[in-house]
Amino acid sequence: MPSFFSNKKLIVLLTSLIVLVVLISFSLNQDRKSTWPEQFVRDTTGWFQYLLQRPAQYAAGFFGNVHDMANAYQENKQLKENLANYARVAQENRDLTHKYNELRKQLDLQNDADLSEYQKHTAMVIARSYDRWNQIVTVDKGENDGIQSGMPVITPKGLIGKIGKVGKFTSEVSLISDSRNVNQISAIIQDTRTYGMIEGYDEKKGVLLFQKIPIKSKVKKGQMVTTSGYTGKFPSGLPIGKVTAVSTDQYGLTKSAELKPAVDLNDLTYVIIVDRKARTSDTGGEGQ
Amino acid sequence: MKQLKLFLFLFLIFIFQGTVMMQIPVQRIWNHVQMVPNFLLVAILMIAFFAGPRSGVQYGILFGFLVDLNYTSVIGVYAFSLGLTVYLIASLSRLFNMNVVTTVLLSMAGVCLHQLIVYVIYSMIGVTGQPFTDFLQWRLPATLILNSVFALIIYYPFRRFLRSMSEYEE
Repeated sequence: MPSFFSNKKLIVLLTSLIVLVVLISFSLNQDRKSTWPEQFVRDTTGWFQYLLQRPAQYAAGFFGNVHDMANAYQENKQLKENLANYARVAQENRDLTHKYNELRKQLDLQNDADLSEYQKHTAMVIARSYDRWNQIVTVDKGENDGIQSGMPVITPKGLIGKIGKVGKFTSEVSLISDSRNVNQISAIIQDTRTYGMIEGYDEKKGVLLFQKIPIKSKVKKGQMVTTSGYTGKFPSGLPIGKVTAVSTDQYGLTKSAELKPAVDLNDLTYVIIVDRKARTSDTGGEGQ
Repeated sequence: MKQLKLFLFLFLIFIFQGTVMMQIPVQRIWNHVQMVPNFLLVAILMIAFFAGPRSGVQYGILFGFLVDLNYTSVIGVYAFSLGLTVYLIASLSRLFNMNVVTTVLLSMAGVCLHQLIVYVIYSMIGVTGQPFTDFLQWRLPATLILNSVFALIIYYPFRRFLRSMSEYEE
């Protein structure tokens, strides 16, 4: 009967444990830029992932279409109702934009970028980490397309995360459902102008934790929360989610709320990477 | 040539796990269930059973690093876990007479062990906050079913391929 651990094997095991600890502490440094071997490996596999993802998405899209067709009647009814409002809202929007631009001109602000202005890069999701612990998706745009670490990533429905490590042709998006507390985002409830912070994600309930809301503010279920534009490279006005529950935090000094993300994070095909026009001093134009 | 074919096969599985498998909307239908593909581990375990534990461990570490770089935020965890799991299960497999049942059972033991090692390390460094009961209840059973189906599918063709390879090397 073979023995599992002879002396030599024990040494090998211990050495590999040490190497493991070193590697982990090396990669847990969040400000770290990815080194060239990492970039090379990621870009190479990214190319193959792209090849395989394309047909897979078409197939999944086909089944999605079949499912959609079943709901078409209901959806059509709702859309017709919404359409009645559309013309009015569009006209209002045009009016307001015009007025806004006039006023900006009068205040001599037209050369400063607005907090809500941004440029879009559309990217395709080419892979997703398959253990559900790492909430990372890979997209097919990288440094060569002007993508930088820290840029927010959205879909037309709302915020999904921000760019983590960047390669030459691919980059990683760390989703807002990542339970490592890296995604602290300043957010605001639009109708009442109440500020707070998005701090983490509750995996079990599937909700974002919206905390540090002033205790006197009135937070209600169903209110929409968006980004405030005061964090890193995030422009203002990106929808994050709707309030589903409100409570007072453990010290009784501030309120905290739970948000249901506006986007279904399990169903991502195309995403938009946001490049904010307004620059702030601490995040700068270049690098981190 | 056979080695190259083997490498390409493993690489294909590695890509497949992160792309095609993620299109299957298990998570959208059952919210709690986490069905995690560990096909790479199953294939590498079979290499260790039928073509020698040494190359199994080597492939385990190599592809562990690839998984770490591509699908995770922390380098080294999967490489360590895959290497250790393949080594332990391959040592264990010497006590058994390998047929379909023992191969699938040992592969499942490997999947359990691998998931557990990664879970422990990830909990320690805070990548996941999943409670242990959820891990046992929602993650392990579904994962084991999915991977045992995969093991059954590839068992016969893959074993034939590996047997022919080890003859070729002699």
